[in-house]
Amino acid sequence: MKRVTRTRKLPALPEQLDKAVQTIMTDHEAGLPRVNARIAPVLRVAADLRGMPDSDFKQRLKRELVARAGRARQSARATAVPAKRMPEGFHSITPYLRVNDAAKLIDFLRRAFGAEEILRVPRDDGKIMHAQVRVEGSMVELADITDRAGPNPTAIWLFVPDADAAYRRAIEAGAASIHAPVDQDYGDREGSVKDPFGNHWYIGTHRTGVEPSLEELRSVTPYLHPKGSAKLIEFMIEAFDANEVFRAEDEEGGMIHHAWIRIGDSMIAIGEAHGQYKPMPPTLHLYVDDADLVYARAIKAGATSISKPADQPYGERSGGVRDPFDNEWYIATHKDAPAERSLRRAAEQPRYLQPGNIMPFIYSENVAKACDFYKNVFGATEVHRIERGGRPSHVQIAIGQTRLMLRDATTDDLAEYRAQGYAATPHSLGGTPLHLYVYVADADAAFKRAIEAGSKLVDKMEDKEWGDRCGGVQDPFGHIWYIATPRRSA
Amino acid sequence: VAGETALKRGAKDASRHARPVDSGERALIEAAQSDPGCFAQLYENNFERVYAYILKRVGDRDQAQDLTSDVFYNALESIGQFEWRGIPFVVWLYRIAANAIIDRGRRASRLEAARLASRAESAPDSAADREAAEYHARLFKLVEELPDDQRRVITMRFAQERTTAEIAKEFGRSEGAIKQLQFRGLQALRTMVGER
Repeated sequence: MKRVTRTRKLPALPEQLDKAVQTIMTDHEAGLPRVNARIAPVLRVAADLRGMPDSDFKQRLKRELVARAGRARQSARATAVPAKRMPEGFHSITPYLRVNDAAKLIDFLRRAFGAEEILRVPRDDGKIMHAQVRVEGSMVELADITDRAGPNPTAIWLFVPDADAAYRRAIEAGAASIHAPVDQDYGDREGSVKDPFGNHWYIGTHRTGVEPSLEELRSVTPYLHPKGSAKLIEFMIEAFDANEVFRAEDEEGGMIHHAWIRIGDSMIAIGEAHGQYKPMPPTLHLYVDDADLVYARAIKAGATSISKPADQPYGERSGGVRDPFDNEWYIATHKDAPAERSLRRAAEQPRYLQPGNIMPFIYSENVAKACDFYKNVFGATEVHRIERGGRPSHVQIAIGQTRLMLRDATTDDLAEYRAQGYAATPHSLGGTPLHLYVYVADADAAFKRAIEAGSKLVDKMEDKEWGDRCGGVQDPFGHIWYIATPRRSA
Repeated sequence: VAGETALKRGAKDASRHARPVDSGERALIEAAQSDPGCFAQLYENNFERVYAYILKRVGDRDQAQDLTSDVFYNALESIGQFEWRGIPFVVWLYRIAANAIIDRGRRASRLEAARLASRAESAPDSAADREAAEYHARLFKLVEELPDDQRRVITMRFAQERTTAEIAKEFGRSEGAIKQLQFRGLQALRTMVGER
């Protein structure tokens, strides 16, 4: 008799595995079902794959990141600032004029050349310790003389759009003429004056296209008249890494009539002293990358020290030298003032981390309605919303640069919070201590929309004494808004 | 559960494979700091880790995806503030992720927050957590190395959570064939991930 062994037919392994996979995919929290020992390790891998990311999601997120990076790059380019070698508005070289009665010189510069006063630091005796004015886009620094630092009449080549007009105004403001404007053989129109303090102003209108083309030519360019120009140029090259751009000299090679020397982003003009153009050694404020290094080089090149480099209370490290031609150089490296630094740092933060960005978080009974109201009245845009039970519990909106969070005060999860008195609305409080003052392009129109949409009048729309056209409303949710537009005339 | 054991064993394995702190990563970070366009490579290198780390802590695909997006947006925005101290970049990303999870908890309802918090408590930010994330990240990445058919089946089954019947229909093949591909794909993964 034939013995028959009856065996239960099991599904193939792939079939068994799929059944188990289906079980773990249906209930993520469930443990692993018991399976054949041969597929148990494979099933464990399957369990570890639960929740694996979709490659579509990965690619989508990558595309969005690349797009954002592109935008960040563009805006970084737009706001890129070069390394701060010098304070805002300064170039490498700024002449420093010391006179007896600096206030009067400022007045002269204003009347003659339209100078704009940027800073004035008075001394105890009312004289000027330090002042900065801007002339045609360049800085000039000045101060009253002291016992230790006497006047330093300086020659400045001043480039203006209309040399004739500036010359005329300078004469009217009290300058003496050196020579009236003439067309120079190098193409510029140029006249010269001596101001009441002995400074020379060579007032020129530079013709573009005239060689050499000088991008570093500033509207205020010091003009030196040394005895021995070639030696001075050598000193500048050694001490300040200067670059001789142009030189016109006698055919015998003796006298330099005119030379252009570039230092940093600025130019210095040099013409050998002759006739009435006597040496007038100026004081020049020179911004460099490393004041200590340049100071040391200047000393090595033959300058004598006036003061060793030190951190100054006005945001720079600087030291002074006198070169062999009696020119004074204040060699400085700009250091961000703490306030400047913290502002710059703040601007580098993501916007929500920047100080001063306050997001009012306001509770109301109906966030959807409130959102519609602010969209209608202020042109608010919705940033994002969280829904709960079919209605929004949070809606973040933006009005201009400001974000507001609208929060439903009635949701269940706030019960405890409400009991403690926190999630109050103006209606539950019977008023609100917070007034939101909002600037819009057209206050009258927004005010009208607010009233039409059911707001109560709080303060009528009118020109307010503080310079805004402004009116107050209480919106249907009890929040008080002052809607304003600055008056142009104010 | 058995999966956890596998995971722990895998994690040990993963930690052996964890990349040393390398100068290549540093160069990438510095490149991304001066040009955000270079961020994509950092993303490619770390996407799976961050996703796996978050998934482990929130347990839900949709939330994990949202939070992963938040982490990388945030990282891109603040890459300039990343200071190289020899710690792998991914640790910085994990920190952002941990904060994002807590943050989301705050913004979400209190119930939700409690749920997230309880998960977070059961899985505090620890070396073990990170090792688990490394292991999962490696596993997710290995899927891309499978033969095309297997890769597609595994992705549809586990990332898109579709049944073998649905996949068979899309492939125009029998269910048996799909189950076979799934079986072979998972076996291959098991071998590659070094799990025994």
